[in-house]
Amino acid sequence: MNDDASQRGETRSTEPADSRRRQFETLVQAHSAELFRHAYWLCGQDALAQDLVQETFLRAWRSLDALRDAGAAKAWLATILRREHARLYERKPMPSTDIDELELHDEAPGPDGRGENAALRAAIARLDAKYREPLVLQVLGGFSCAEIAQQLGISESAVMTQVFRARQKLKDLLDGDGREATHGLR
Amino acid sequence: MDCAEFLRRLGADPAALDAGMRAHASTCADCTRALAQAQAFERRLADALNVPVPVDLAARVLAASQADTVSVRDVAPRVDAKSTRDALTQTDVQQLRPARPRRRQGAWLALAAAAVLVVALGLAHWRANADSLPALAIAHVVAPDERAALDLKTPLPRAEVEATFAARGVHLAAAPPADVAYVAQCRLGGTPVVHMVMPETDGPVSVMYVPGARERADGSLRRDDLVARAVPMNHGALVMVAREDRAFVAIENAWRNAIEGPQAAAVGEP
Repeated sequence: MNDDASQRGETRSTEPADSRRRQFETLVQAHSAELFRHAYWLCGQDALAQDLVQETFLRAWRSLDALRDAGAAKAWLATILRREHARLYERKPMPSTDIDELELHDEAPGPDGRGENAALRAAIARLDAKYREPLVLQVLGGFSCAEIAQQLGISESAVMTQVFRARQKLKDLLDGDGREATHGLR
Repeated sequence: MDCAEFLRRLGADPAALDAGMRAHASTCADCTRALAQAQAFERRLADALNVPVPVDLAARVLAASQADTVSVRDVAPRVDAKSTRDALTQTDVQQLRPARPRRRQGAWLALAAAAVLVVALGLAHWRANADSLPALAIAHVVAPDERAALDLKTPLPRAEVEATFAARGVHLAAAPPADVAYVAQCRLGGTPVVHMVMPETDGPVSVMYVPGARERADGSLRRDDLVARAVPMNHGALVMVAREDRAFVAIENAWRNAIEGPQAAAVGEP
């Protein structure tokens, strides 16, 4: 192999890497915001959500070759994120809190806690994770009940029931005591 | 389709209106009304879920993946077919594929190993910091529901501050600082705290008292253009967050005076 050929070989060998990098950058630009919001509603903490997003994309980068269908990227990333979140809980068990604490009856509204968004956010935070997660996937992620069922490993009818109840519970919470505000998720 | 089925499907996914649902809604005034209400609620729900995203998030993710690339490319053992082909048989070369051009391998390996070490230590440090009081306090003050507190300027009545501390089981030993413009019972990572804002000359300072967390008062952290410092105070920890830390010492002294009493404040630590 002469030097020219070697050069051509070199060029050929870096092309897939460049393409892979471009594909990853496109993925990050397209999905990082939505993934952050998903992470935020999984863990309830801004800093932790950023950490989760970073870990998710690092794992995605390492196994980018496994993503054959670009159209499936959103669901693929959401699945990685959920696994990362589960790993986080495995590594560090969250502090157990009794039910009275979770009621948050003594919380005063935040500074803009009187706004509709704040009340609704507080209500979303108070939802059980089993209701909140499919709701977030549906409203934020735009996933269908069937897609959510696949991601969560439950039946489609179970997803339909959970998102239905999630909305009912939110309306009940808003009608009942919408003034409550919290910054931790149930 | 009857009304019950329409409402069941509407409640499960208001965005997925199929032809059957549309047809039913067009013939039923009650379901048309329910549809309008559901769609209005969905708009509110989407607004509420759309929490602000850190502006540099994508850049930081890409930078982290770049660091990961360095570690994979430069630390992984590599074989150079071109420079060794004279010494190897063709069979050897084939066995050693994939071949890559030689760079100054020893130097690069050392550099890459150092880079990996730095990144690993940085990540470990960052992860350890993620659950610290300063990190949790910064995350709390930038949360969407809390940002408006930083604009408050009017001092609150002393009684309101004292009552909030009392609700958290803390009875102040002396008068609290007079310039508390916001006080609320909040939580940091599930831990109950008293959260205040004090509008200082250099800008607002968020102050949080975490009862029973004295052993978690673990130093300072700078993140998101904010600096946070946690100091032990009586049985708890006082955490301060601001853009600049110039007012921290004065604020710490003022709260030590209020929480531990004038004598303790005069000598510093209890």
